[in-house]
Amino acid sequence: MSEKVPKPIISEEESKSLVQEFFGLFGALRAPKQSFSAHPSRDQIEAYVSSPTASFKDVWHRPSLEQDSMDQHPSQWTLSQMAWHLQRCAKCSKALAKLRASRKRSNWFEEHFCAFGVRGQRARAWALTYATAVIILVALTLNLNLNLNMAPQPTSPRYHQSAPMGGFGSLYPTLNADYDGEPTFNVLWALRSNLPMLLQTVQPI
Amino acid sequence: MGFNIEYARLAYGEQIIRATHLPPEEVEDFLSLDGAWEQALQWLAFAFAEREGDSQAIRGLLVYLFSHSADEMDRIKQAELLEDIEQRRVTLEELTMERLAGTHLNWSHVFSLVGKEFNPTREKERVKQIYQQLAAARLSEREIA
Repeated sequence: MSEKVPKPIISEEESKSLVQEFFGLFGALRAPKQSFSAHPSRDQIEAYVSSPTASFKDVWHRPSLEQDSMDQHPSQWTLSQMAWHLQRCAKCSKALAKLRASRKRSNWFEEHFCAFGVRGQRARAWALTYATAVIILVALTLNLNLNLNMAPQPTSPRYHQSAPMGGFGSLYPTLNADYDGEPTFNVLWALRSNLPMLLQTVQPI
Repeated sequence: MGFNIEYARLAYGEQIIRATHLPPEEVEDFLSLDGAWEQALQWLAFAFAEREGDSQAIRGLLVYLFSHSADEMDRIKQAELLEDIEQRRVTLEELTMERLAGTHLNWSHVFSLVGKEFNPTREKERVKQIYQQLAAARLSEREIA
C-alpha cells in the first residue's frame, strides 16, 4: 500500500511566477552592484554585526539620509548607512559573510569560556591553553599509573628491595622498602583511575 | 529623491512584516512622492490586505518575497536564518529586510514562521485584486481632476 504524499500548497513554478509578478517591488534591491570609493574598516563591520538592531526602519524615518550623508567618512556612518553599504558593496559584503562565519565558529568557545570574561580570539587561546594543560596532566597521570603498576607488589620479593632508579618513572615516589617516613602526598595519586588498586598497594605499609 | 522613496517603500514593506506599519491612508502620499504611484499602490495593497484579510498570511507572503528579493543566494545567511527558524529563536516581529534578502526561504519555513499554513496563490490574487481596485480608483480621481 503506497503512502499518500500530501500535495504541496504551491508548486515551484507558481512560486517563481509569484516572485516575478512582484518583481517591481524590489527594484532598489535588484539594482546592479555599485562601486564605492570608501569602505568601512573591519572594526566597523564587526561593530555592525554586533548590533542586531540595524534595520531599514531608520531609513523609513529619515528618507533622505543616504543621499545626504553617504559622502561622509565611513567612520561617521550610522548603522542604517552601514547596512545600505554592506548590502551593495561586493567587497564589504564578502568581508561581512566571512566575519559572520568566523563569529559562528568562535561561538562555541565563547559559550564555554564567557564565565572567565574572555571572548573571540582570546577565548580560543584560553581553550587551547586549557586543552594543553589537560593533556599534560593526563599524560603525567598515566605515567604515574604505569610507574605504580610496575612497582613491586607486596607479595613480590622485590617489594622489600629498593626501588629501581632511573627513567622518567623515578620522578615519582614509589612504594619500596627504603620508605620509612610519612608518605609524601602526590596530587597525581588522586587522579589515578584505578584508585582501589592504589589503596591495596598502600595498605601493607 | 526617487531612489530614497523607493527605500521608504521597501521599509514600509518591512514594517508590514513586523506589524509596525502606519495605516495605508496616512502614508499613501509619502510613498508616491517620487511619482511612482503604481509601485506605492502595490505596497499599499499589501497593507490593505493585511488589515482586511488574513494578517499572518500576508506577512508570510511578504517574508517569502523579501527572502527572494535578491537573485544571489547568500548561503551563510540562509543557514543562520533557517537554524533560527527551526529552533524557534526568531519571530516575524524581529525580521528585517537585511536579514531576509538572499535567503531564498521555502514555503515550509515561511509557514513555520507564521505558525500555520496558508494558500499563497490565493493571498497573491487577493493582493492583486486590491491593487487593481486602488489603481482604478486612482485613475478615476485623475480623470475627474
